[in-house]
This record gives sequence, C-alpha cells and structure tokens, in this order.
Amino acid sequence: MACGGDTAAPATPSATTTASAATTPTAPPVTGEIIVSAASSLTEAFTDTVKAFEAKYAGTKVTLNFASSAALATQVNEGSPADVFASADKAQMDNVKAERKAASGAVFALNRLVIAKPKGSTAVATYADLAKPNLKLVLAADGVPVGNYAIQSLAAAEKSVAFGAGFQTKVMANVKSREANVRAVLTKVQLGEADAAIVYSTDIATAPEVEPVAIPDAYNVTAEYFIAPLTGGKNAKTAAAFVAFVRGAEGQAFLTKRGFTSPPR
Amino acid sequence: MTLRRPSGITLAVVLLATVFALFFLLPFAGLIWRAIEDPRAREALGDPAVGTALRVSLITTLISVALSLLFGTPVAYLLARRQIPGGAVLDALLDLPIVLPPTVAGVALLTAFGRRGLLGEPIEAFTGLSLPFTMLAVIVAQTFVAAPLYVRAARAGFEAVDPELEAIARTLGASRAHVFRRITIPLARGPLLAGAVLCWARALGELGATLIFAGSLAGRTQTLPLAVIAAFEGGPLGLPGAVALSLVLLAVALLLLGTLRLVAKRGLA
Repeated sequence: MACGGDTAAPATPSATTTASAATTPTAPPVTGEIIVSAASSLTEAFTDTVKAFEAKYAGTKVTLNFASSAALATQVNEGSPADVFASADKAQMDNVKAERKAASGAVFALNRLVIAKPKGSTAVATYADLAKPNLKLVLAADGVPVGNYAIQSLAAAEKSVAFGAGFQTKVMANVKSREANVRAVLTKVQLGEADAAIVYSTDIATAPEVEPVAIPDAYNVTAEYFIAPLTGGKNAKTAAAFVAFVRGAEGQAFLTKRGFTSPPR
Repeated sequence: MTLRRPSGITLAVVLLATVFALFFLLPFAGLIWRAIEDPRAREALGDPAVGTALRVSLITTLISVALSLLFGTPVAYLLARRQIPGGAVLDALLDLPIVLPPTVAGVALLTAFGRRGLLGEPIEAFTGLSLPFTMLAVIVAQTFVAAPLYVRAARAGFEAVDPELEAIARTLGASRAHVFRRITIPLARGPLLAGAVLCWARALGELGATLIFAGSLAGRTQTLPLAVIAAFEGGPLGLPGAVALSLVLLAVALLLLGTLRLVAKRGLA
C-alpha cells in the first residue's frame, strides 16, 4: 500500500516533541476540529484523505465542505468559518489571498479536462463534434474553475489550424446550461439531459452512466489545484498538519488513486 | 382600562417582539446598506446582465401566472362546487408542490418531462424536441410549484360565493357561462386576485426546480434568483452583482406585496 506507516515518521509526535509541547504552551498538539473547504472535484480523494488523517492524528475531526472553488472563495471572503481552502484553480486562491484570508497557496495536484457523454450515446465521438449543430452541451458557470478551463481549451482550439476560427462560437452556441460546479455539470450528463459536457478526467470514474471522449493534448488544459491554511481559522496547528498531509506522500497517494497527478517537486 | 405599570409579561412580550422584528428587518437593512456602501453594487445595477435576468423572470412568470389562471380556475371551481370523482386525490395532489422542497419538484419534473422521462422520451422520439434547458422548462417548473397556491385561494373564493345566487340567476334564464362570468367571478374577485399575486410571487422566487429541470443560461433560462446564485458562486457579476440582483428582486417583491395589500382591502370592501 502506498500509504504505509513508514512515510508518516516526520509528522508523528515523538516522545521528545510531546515533552517539548508540554513545556512550551505556544505549540499546541494536532487535535480538535477543522473545516476544510474543497473544490467539488476533490470529493472522493479528500474523503479518503480525511479518513486516513483522522486515523493518524487521534482526536482530530475534519469536516469537509464541497462546492465550486468560486463559491467557496466567496464564502471564505464573507467570513464563513473554515481552516483550509483547496481550490481547483489559482484565480480563486488569489481571490482569497487578496482579502488576506490566506497567506500562501501551494500546488498539490494536477488534473486534465475530458468530454463526458452518456454511455452509449453516439452524438459526440471527437472533440470537433462539440461544434455539431443542435448538440446539447453543458459547461460550468463563468468563474467556476472547470468552466474557465473549458473556455481556455476552446480558445486554444479556435487558434489552431485544425479547428479554426468560428469553432469556439459554434461550440458556445450549443451550450444549454452553465452549472454551479463540476458535479452539477456531470449530473446533467448522467441524467442524459446533456449530450456532452467538459469536466475533469477524474470525474468520469465517479459516474458509471458516463463515458469519456478525449480532448487532444494540444487543446487540453492542466488544472492546478492550490491548498492553503486560512488565516481566520481557529485551529492553525491542525490546519497546517492537514495541508502537510495532503502534500505529503500519503495524501498524494489518495489523489493519484483517483486519477490526479502530483505536481513536479 | 386604567394605566398600570407594565408587568413582567408585557415586558417579555415587547422584548420578544422586538427581537423578532429585528430578525426580519436586519437582513433587508444589510442588503440596502451593502448597496449604498459598495459602489460596485450600484454599478452592477446598471449591468445589462441584470436587465437580461429581469426580462427572463418577467416573461416566464407572466406566462406561468396566465397558465395557472387558465387551467387553475376551472379546477378550483370544480373542487369548490361539485363532488367530482377523484376530487379528494386531486386536492391532496395540489398540496404536494406547496409542501415539497422545490428541488424534489425539479427531480420529479425530470422523471416525467426530461429526455429520459415518462413523457419526455416518447415526445423526443417523435418530434425531436426536448423540454429541459428551454424557457418553456422554466415556465413548467414555475407553474408546477406556483399554480397550486392560486388554486387554493380561488377554491376558497368560490366556496364563499353563495350557490343560491348562481341558482337564482339560472332561473332568470342566464346561461351557465354567463352566470360564471357575471356572478361567480366578480363575487370571488378578491380571493382570485390575491391568489394570482401569491402565485406570481412564488413563480418569481422559484429557484430549486428551475435549476434542476431547466438549467441556467443567461438570456434563456437564467431568472433573477438563478442569476443571484451564479453571481454569488463566482460569476462575472460577483458578490456586488448578487446584491444588485437581490435588490431588484426585493423591489419587485415589495411591489407585489403592495398590490396584494391593495387587493385585500378592495376584496373586503
């Protein structure tokens, strides 16, 4: 198993650190409750991660709050309580940093885009098919990371010789709905209401009713996920430990298991 | 009554009432304060996107109310006047959309009129047309959740009309349609109008069923409440836009409420 106990050594409180913690009250132990606000595409990976984190640090309780990174950034900036923010793009982490709710943000995972279509549907077989007339396409809303990445991908195709000018306009004319987060987008495909949608490649495995159509590398976009402890959090020690856990070998194993890629070190 | 020192009970009642009143006052005050304090919110009021959402809201809700009146009035009259077969079932059925969360209504509508729905699938197979993601889907969602409110009010209105009056008019040679138009409707006018205003207000506030059944696309299916969500969840209008859109909805709601009060007064007179 990738998340073996040997990798946990640096963070495990040893006899010496517990002794020093007792003498210096400024270093509280990793315990108590934290709230982690995370991009909805992280649902499965973070659910696994939290289980392992709570098992490793007895006495911790992590509450997960999933939504689009854009919605979470608004919530954090409006003062909703959270200790850690995991965003699916840099823009929403920057939003939070601009309001001084986070000091730093580190890339902890990478993702790619893919087309999702209902299993067995023949409406879309290639990326170019997204421009076919009368197609029902669903994207995430403006500002929602996966929605922005999708527009970036279409813009890249528009600039290429293969697709050419007008491709993006034709595809956008097929957009029937802009959903609040990537899982809401995926649901429209699961229900068969949409013929196609642009989601993360990691989302496909969560929906048995859906199958992928590849987006060529030349027009694909790498999504960078950022994580940071929040300055308004009430449990800085545990928040820092959680961020370290996600970025460490164990956390990375849970992410790669769900199809994410680790950022280059 | 003689003047007395206020008792403990009186003080408690006044205190509870004040807290309660503040609880309802503060959110609206906050909204207006945010609009005054944040210049971006005022700017957003002039954004074309706000006008677009208002237009979608007005078009869809007016059609939804018209449909509710057209189909709801006969149903309300039948429920009020006659023992119709299945009347009790219909009555209970009409209560469901009022009681159920709108999100449940949205899912239910998909299972009936979606592309894989009971009716939606054969319709698409024969005509190639599908309902979700269209303005018509917004109207269907609004009518589903709002029409029952009109039917409730209209039914109570019709029940309050003395059947004797209708019978007398009939004996004087008036046709059924004539009696309904000239006697029943005018006598039930107050409750009918109040029901229509309530129905309109509910349609205007519809969010959950629309989001699930119709999706959200500016200029087509994105009504004011959906635009608030899109703005709040990181859309280009941002939080100032959400405040601006909320203010527009608040203004429309106040207008409707004023109309309702006016109608209620007229209805009593």
